Amino acid sequence: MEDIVALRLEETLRRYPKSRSSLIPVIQDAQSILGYLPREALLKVADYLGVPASAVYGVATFYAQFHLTPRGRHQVKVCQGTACHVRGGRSVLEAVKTELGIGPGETTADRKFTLERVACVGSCSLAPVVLVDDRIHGSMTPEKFRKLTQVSAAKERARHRVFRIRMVFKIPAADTPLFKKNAACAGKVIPETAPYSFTGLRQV
Amino acid sequence: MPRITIDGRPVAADTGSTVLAAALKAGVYVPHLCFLPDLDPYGGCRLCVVEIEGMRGLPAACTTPVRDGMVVHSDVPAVNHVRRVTAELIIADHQASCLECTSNQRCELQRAAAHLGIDQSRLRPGTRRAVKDTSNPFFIRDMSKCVLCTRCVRLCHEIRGVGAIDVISRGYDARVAPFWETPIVESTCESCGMCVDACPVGALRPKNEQLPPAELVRTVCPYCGCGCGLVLGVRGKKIVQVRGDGFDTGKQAQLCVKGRFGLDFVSSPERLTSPLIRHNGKLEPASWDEALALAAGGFSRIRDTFGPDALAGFASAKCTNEENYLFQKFMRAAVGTNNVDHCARLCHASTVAGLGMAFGSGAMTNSVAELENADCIFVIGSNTSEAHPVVALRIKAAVSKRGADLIIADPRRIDLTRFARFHLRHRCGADVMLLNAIMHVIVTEGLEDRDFLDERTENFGSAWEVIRHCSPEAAEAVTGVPAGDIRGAAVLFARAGRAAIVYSMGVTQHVTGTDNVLALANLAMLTGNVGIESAGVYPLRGQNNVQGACDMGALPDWFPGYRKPADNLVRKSFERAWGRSLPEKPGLTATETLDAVFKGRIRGLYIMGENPALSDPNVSRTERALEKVDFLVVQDIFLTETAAHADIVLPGASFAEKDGTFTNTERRVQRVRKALPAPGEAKEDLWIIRALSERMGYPMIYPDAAAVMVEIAALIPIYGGISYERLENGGLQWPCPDGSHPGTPFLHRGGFIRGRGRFHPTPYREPAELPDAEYPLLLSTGRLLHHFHTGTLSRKTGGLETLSRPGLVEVNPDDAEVFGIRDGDRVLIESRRGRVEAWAAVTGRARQGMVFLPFHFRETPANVLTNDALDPSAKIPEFKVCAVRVKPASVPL
Ligand code: SF4
Ligand code: SF4
Ligand code: SF4
Ligand code: FES
Ligand code: FES
Repeated sequence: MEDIVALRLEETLRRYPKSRSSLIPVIQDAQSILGYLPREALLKVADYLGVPASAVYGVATFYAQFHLTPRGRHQVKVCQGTACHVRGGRSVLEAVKTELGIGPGETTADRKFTLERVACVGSCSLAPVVLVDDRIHGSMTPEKFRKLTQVSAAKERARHRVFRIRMVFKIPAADTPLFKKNAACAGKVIPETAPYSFTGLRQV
Repeated sequence: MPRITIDGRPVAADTGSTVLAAALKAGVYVPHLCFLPDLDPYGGCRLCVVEIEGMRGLPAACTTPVRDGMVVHSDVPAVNHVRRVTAELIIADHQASCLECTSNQRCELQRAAAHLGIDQSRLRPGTRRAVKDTSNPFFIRDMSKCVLCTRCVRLCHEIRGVGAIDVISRGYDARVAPFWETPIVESTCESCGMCVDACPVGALRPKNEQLPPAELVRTVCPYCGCGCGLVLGVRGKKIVQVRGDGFDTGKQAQLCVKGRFGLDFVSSPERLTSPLIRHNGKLEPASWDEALALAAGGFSRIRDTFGPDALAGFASAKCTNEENYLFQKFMRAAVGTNNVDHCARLCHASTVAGLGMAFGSGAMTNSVAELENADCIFVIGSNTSEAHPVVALRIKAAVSKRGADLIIADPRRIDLTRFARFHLRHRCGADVMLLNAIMHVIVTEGLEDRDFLDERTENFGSAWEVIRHCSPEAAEAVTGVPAGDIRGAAVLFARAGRAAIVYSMGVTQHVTGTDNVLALANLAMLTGNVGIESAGVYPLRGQNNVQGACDMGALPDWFPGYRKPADNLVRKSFERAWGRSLPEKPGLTATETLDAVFKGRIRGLYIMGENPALSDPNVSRTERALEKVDFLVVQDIFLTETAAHADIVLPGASFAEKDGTFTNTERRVQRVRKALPAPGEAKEDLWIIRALSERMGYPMIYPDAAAVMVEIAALIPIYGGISYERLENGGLQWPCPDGSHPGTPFLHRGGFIRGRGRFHPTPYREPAELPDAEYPLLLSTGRLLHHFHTGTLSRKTGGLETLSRPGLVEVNPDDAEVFGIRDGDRVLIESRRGRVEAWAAVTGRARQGMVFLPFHFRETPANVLTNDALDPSAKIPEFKVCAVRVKPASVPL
């Protein structure tokens, strides 16, 4: 893990008592800092809380909210429930896979999309269904999906600009320890795995 | 006692037991999978559901506590129908290929299915795609057979305190796996194999158990002082199965990897199978007659020319009490010298001396099981979970089950620190300072036990004169432990109701070893923690029978039962019993013996089952001594580094090939039983000693080992009530003075053995050799979980060898940077005495300024480096501290 991220994780850990009951809130925080839960982060949590690593892993794999692989900025969920299946959900999934170049559970190299297959999402009348960031897109076809990704990519670029500007103005006050640490690390290259919220800081 | 009815049968249940436990105890089978008596009730598999009058639904019998008058229906159609549905769901996911499964006919799923009348044809290949992990050298994890009872998981967490595996994911994908689903060898798994024995089906199975045993033999583990009971499954001339001995408790007895999987050495092809005699510099096979005649002739000649004190013998903490007793009797009566010693000199001589001076007995004061009920446990200089794994289970249980506070004082970050409230990382060799400071805090805070001091002890004043100068701040400068931590730990320890002190070689193997022990004794007395249950002082003895070897008088300054040779009455009584006049002057210790060889005072050596060529400090010197001595006879089961120097090698029997007793670290005398014949010409050690003695004109007539025990009981009062008949029903803890005495779980009840407990002043002295500019790092030596001592036994078991890579030296990351060492580098370690090459493991386990090297391996013989400086009173060498320098090795091997 890159130093800056490790530092923030450690800072978060220290806010919790060393006990098993902190486990879920701690990994929730870890995920919100890191964007996902890498192996080293879980080991760190286990070490800090004095809980066996296997137990941390057990919890992290039990809840759907936790992700062990980097997440894309957009979640694409292709329904494979019965209704969708009957109406061509399978070929939609195939198309999505080719379009994004990844399989279910994976994330594109540019961290834009994560693909997942889901069972019925309760919109069978619109089948086959794809969800992008929890927005339902019904009567999906491979063609329609391609358009959809282009739109969201454009939106993303716009949002990204806004976000950067906001981040520049929201740097923490210069005398806080967090700022000092961040500033100390700011010169370093922040890798692809860096959380979204740091992209802004890189400009500082 | 609550009485309940199960299917119309009246059953008397234990109070607090569950319906399932009560039924099983009464011999009523209720199907079950997830229940294991050792574990907390779980109620996961739902196979044990029953109908209970007055209760709604079908409760799980394994989680329902019994109440008086309960009426339970188990084997009735309504209940069985529900169970059958549950069982069929489990079976649908289970890869049932029973005929090829090692658990066939022992499988609890088969049994439940048969009970419920489920057609065998339903047992068919499952649908789950699961991995088979064969990475562990000892067992297979075949998850296609797993029924998710989670027994293995709960056992590994609740009882082992390891937690290498857990249930991961959810729903249909749920499975048991280590962290990140790596192969199990890459996880934190300690390979104890206890989960394997707990698995109800064939999902976890040992690799080496193909055949069911024909016979079961109860005996004791030959490795460490925990003295775990073993049940050996024997077939033909081989051990085909090993289990913990849970006969007494009805539970699964816990073992560690060495006891469970480390016994292959018994049938190793490298075993000595015939006596060897040196001809023209080479050891060659010979007959027993030749070898014994030569040995006896050699010893007699030396005795007659140079006197009996020119001979010396090393008995063995690996051998039985009976063998050690005969060995010292041979040296004292047949040869006529007190020059007999054994490796206790190298590990706990300072304990025997220190605790003897303070309490009147050098033994562990309390029993291991009592640790579970202690309120505070202070572990110093003991890497318990690796060196005494089963004692560590008790410590972990005290913390996790009862919320006891654990304090660790150790320069290294050992595994137990996970459970500790305080980890005091003091500098090696600064133990006395640390302990004095702890006592300083206790007294200045007014937390000492005044009544205990006044009524039960003496001489506190003179100890205080030293302690009063050792404030935590002063100690911080010497030990490197923050004063605040010293304060916190001291208060925690003093405030606890029952506080126990656990220590081992990290305390004893110093030039100040005796002082270290005395300081611990002071601490225990200061807080009134001696003579009560679940408190006391626990020196963890290393070898399986080091306690027994000491009890038997395999010591130069003690006759059997810790009686002084100089005492005329004592000597007279032994002279009467043994029919010879006995030497009065104390003999030479093992370490002094080697010096005496150079001076020409010792000319002949008889070594039984010890390997000083690898275990003693400054081994090159030891080797020279073994080379120099005129006549060397070694009796062992392998051609050890020591035996390689011998003139005559006598092949002995391993623990599985003889009868006898071992006394474990908690003074428990336990029966060792013969399970196999010794290989080839090898003989039981008792036979060998007797044959030698007879040839030296002192016949010893004993029909068997039991007869030796009769003599021991007659001569050693603390063993007075011990006999093989009594030991049939489990071990006995000495003192056990007569045949009706139940044994003594803890010592010094109501008063110290020596009368009053005595405080000793323990001023801080520095180790004999400290790091300096030339040798800037401090070297400490120690053990690893998977190996034992010089590896004579453990390295003959292939699997153990793969689990711990030999030749790693631990270096702290900060030091690594300073000395230009990277993880995995080949490095050269040099001290003033020698040099060793090893692979660097850069890790935070080692304290800054120190390196750690295990001493098991001949590839990296740590004792080439160690210092042979001795503790002045106990004569124990300082294994734990010496100065070294480390640098990258120029030529990689
Ligand atoms: S072998 Fe022992 S340490 Fe390893 S998983 Fe099984 S119980 Fe846990
Ligand atoms: S591996 Fe065995 S003990 Fe562990 S959950 Fe599966 S069936 Fe139970
Ligand atoms: S803890 Fe010691 S006595 Fe017990 S099985 Fe392991 S080595 Fe043997
Ligand atoms: S099956 Fe796809 S929404 Fe119901
Ligand atoms: S044995 Fe009772 S639920 Fe499994």
